[in-house]
Amino acid sequence: MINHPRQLTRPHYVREANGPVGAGANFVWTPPIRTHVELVSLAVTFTTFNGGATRGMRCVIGGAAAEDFNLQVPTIQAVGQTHNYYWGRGIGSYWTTLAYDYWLGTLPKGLLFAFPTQLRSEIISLNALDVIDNWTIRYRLWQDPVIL
Amino acid sequence: MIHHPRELDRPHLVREGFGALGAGADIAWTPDVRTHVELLSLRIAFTTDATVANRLMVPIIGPVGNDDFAFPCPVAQIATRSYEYYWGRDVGCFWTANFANYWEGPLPSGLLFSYPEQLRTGIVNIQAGDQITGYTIRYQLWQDPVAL
Repeated sequence: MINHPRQLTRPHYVREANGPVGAGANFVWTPPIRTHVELVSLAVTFTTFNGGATRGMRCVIGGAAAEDFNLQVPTIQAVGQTHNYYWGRGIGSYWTTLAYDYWLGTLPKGLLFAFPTQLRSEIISLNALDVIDNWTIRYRLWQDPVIL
Repeated sequence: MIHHPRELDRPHLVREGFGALGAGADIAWTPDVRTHVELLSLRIAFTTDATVANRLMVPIIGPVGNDDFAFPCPVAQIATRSYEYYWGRDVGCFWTANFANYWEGPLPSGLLFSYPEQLRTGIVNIQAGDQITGYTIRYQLWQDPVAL
């Protein structure tokens, strides 16, 4: 697939807040048809059930069965915890272990994707009772011109 | 919510400096109506009282009740200390422990927000006697066109 940015409108800035997701489920998001998006930020709050294996948070950009880009968190999330994950541009990666569990990571720059490519979570060892409490995205959106 | 940058004028560069807040209070700053801002830098001076507890400085961008993006300092501030926190674009995380308590960290780039969204702090374990003794923001500001 080749995108043609020269035919696109100038970007809109969009915010979408979502969640909670049903227990044991990952989130899956697809841009609207005939749009191209670039993430500006992604926030995920995730709570683990008090049992099972340690979880690993990761989000993916790619087709339904492809992982074109993997936003992998290098640290684990233990049982019975709520962690806040944030990805933004140009912020490096760091982790606050004190009192509250925030993890910050860097988004790739210039990675446009379009329908039907997805942004989704693929949490490692996700338990049936784990919950994604909320997830929020901000993105730049280009819309294909519509021929009337 | 969709912003339409193509309708915005060119950005203004704005600096705002604020004095001490009331004891125990967090920052809650909102852009003007019909404006969109992107932070270029943020400075916070924060003094803790004698209560023994680890504070964690957590700036947040988002609507009231939603933490769309948080960029905490990973280093705790203990009792009876005055710390200076600075955030800027493309700045790594580092800490000066030897001479004075400065911390520097990265701001996400490209993250526009607008009224009624806020820049605020959610300082973990803030005490009634703690005080933000001042903060300064520099930002780019776009103004929506006004129909006269």
